[in-house]
Amino acid sequence: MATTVTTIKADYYDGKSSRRQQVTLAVADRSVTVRGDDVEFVVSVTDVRISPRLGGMPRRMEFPGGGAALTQDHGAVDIAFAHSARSTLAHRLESHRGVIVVALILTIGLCWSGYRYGVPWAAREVAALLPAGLEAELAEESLKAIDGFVFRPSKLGAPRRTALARSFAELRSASGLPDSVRLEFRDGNWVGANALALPGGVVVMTDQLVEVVTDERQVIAVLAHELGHIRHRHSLRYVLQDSMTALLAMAIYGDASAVAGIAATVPTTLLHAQYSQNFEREADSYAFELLKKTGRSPRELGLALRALDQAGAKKNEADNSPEAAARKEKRSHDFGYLSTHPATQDRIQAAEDAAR
Amino acid sequence: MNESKSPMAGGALPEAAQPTHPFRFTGGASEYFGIWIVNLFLSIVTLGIYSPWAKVRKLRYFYGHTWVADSNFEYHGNPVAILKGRVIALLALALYSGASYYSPKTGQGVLIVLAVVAPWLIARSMAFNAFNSSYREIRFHFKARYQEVLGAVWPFIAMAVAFFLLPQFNFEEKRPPTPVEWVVIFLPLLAVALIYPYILGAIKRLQVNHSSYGRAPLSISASIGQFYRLYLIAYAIGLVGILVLILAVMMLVFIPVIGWLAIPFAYLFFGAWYMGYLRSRTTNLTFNSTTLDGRIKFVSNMLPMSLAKIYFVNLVVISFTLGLMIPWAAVRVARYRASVLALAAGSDLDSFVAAIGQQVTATGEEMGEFFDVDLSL
Repeated sequence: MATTVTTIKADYYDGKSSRRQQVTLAVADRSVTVRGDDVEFVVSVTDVRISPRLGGMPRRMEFPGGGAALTQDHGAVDIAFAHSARSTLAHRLESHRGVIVVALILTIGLCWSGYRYGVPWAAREVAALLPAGLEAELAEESLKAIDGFVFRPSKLGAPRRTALARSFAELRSASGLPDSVRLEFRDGNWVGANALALPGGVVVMTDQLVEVVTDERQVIAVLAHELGHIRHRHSLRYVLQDSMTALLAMAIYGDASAVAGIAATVPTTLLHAQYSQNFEREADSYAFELLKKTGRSPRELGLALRALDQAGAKKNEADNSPEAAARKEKRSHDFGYLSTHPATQDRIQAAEDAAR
Repeated sequence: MNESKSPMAGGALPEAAQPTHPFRFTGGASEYFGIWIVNLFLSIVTLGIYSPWAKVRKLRYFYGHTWVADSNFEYHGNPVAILKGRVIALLALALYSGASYYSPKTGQGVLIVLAVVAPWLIARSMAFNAFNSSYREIRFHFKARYQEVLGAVWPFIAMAVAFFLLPQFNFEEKRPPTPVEWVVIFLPLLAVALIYPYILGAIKRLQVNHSSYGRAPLSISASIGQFYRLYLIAYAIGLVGILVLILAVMMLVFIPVIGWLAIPFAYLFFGAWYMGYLRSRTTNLTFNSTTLDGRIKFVSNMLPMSLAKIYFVNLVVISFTLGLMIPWAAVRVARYRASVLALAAGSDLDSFVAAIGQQVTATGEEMGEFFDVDLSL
């Protein structure tokens, strides 16, 4: 039997001291002969553990006794130790141009669809699994927190309140939402004209909203929109989506070190705004239906939006996350304006269309 | 892509009499990009199950391309051990978030339990990482007892307990908080900021003083006070950053366009400066006061502004490419870190290092037979 001898030049360490010496590995048949100035031994080919190939780092051949030899001669290693072909699989994938391009395209696709469909879907499913009681508790907690930080007691006159509360009750019973869904009046303080739907079914309306949206029918349209948020459990889904996106971003970017974490917040902030726009549209279409059902016109919501927009409201009427209210001051006036202004036009148009 | 030049920044080292052996990083951005994207893709399609393998390949890449005195480092971590550790960490996280969803109090209770086991986990994780690192086939070791780790992290545990016992702030009254209440609200943040330098310094000291390369012990002389000094300066940078950010937000009202550009710019600029200052100073402090076997010293000449510049460019590029340039950024940082690090050996390094023997026994803890926990402290 003719045997071919493969020779590999390598650096040898005995594993007991960090002394380095040059050796030559002669691989023939089924045995490996390691020969250097102060070392000489023979081992079976199958007893040598080959480290998986990776980038440009030297290949490590570990011997049963604990010593190891390192070499850059990958070609010779792959021929001599054909039994450990598996050790090059990952490397072949990682250095193959086609595989890299495909992985790149698929990764971008997966991230995009995960953000666009996966996260909202998962948040909806998880929200549906969570008992309503938890949500109600969350509502009381967040109302208390916002009361402490932002809101003041409402200065709205009693007749005005009673009228609004009556219309709200009418909307609520038409919507089929439970009795526990209630309306709260507050002085918005620096938040200004706003209405919030807290998780668990508390709608908070600020006095400033009534000042900006002077027509009572339009205020009721805004309340219908808030009921839409409650019906679709937006606050809860918002919180869930937020934490899911953060977790995913961390899983993907976290790999890169904490510094990349800073960079990761930039895209997540943008995703944030995108999600809330989708929720606004969902709440709008719910409001259109509810308004029609109670003999009102969807146009009222469009008019309310226009009034809020023209009044230069800090952000438009509905921000469904309690945290967002607290953060609002830090955020810009124009952040809301720029990112939602075209959307506001679309929403007004949608209201006009629904009214037809 | 492998650039084998080793720019010893400045070159003028304090102990110029000693021969130095510069570190160098030979990894390349395009080569690492392929490794990164393929591993990221595999991690995503396997719903994270592949991620420990990805982590091992990443660490092997960065260790393996870091050279000093003509030899490279090696990472030997077993992905299966890391996978087990991640599953357990995930369960703990789920337990914590589930508990805090019910009530913040229960969440804090779970946090206390986690805090109590934390010293053990930290010791475990450090032992795993040390044992799985080698240079010239000689492994590193870390060994510390529970109470020794506790000595470093106890302020954190004490704080967790204190906030658990502290009464919950009551917002029943509908009025803005008084100055005293604001202090109470921000107390936890302030406490964390003040305690963090202690914990970090103590952990660095613990990590170095309880580590060895083979049988050669490592020791560090940096004091916790030195870590405090550097953190206070970093905090000052951070505070200036926050003030500038507030200014930028206020600008939005008057000159929207400039404000819009200023906010992300200020955020990334101060983020990079803060991290650049902190990382470079802690790295220099740690390395420059560390001795191997009482004879070999490390010399780290990281410049805060150079690192901050690298970070800033990295952050901008990563943001604009939605993360695709992460491999390039990581290689840039590794190359800089290596380029300013050197070993200062009194005698011929080769013969000295060769004399350092392997520690014979490795405990199960080191081998990560049970699990490795990835705590990035």
